[in-house]
Amino acid sequence: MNKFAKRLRALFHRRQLDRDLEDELAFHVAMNEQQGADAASARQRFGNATALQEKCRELWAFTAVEAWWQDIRFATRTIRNNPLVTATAVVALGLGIGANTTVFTVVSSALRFDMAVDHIERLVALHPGEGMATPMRTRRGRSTSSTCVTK
Amino acid sequence: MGKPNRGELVQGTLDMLILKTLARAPMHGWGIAQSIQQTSEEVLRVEEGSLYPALHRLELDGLIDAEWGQSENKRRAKYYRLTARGRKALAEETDHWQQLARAIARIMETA
Repeated sequence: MNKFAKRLRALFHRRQLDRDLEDELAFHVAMNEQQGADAASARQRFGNATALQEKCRELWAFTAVEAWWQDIRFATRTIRNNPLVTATAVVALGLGIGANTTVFTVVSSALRFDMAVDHIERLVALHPGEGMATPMRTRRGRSTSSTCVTK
Repeated sequence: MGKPNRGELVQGTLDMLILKTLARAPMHGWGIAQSIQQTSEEVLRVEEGSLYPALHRLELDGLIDAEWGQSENKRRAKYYRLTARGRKALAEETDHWQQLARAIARIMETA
């Protein structure tokens, strides 16, 4: 069984993993105690059992994914518990997105520059009095050719 | 140099010492710590805080296998045992360590 499979298995047997870790560390403390050291010093030598358990547990867990899942559950709970806040947020977001879409649609179609000609990149503008024909600025960028096309 | 830190393991040798200890016989975490301490004639002390994370890491990496069994005093204990891959890793680590130890010894022996 590879590493990923082991961790996946541990994910679905979370309770057993916790119990095993607890038992394993408790066994260690018990053996220390039996060895003659009194209970307090054995436990002190051991340090913070919960922290150690957590350290081992993290090796088996998909910490990032599990934290993300917890965040989602927390968010869902909060949303359900505050319907008024949720409604306000939804309305505000809806109006904001709607207004933005409207403005951009209007601006986009007002400034749209697209003549019904073939090879628009070859279109140039002629300015009276100037010696050179300048390529037209189009949505597709400046044209490179200076050939004048007439419609 | 800083104050001598007696009993502290050389960085990166804990995995090797665990594998070596398990090469003799399957053992639980407490037994591994005791064995290392006794075999080193009390020079090395394995901290629980690094022993157990190391054991779980080795188990996940497939270098050791774990099985729950009964301890000498009839308690439920988690026994670790070397896998084929662990045996191979131990051989490599041993080679590497001996090379390193010889190199350091050569430097320290120069007058």
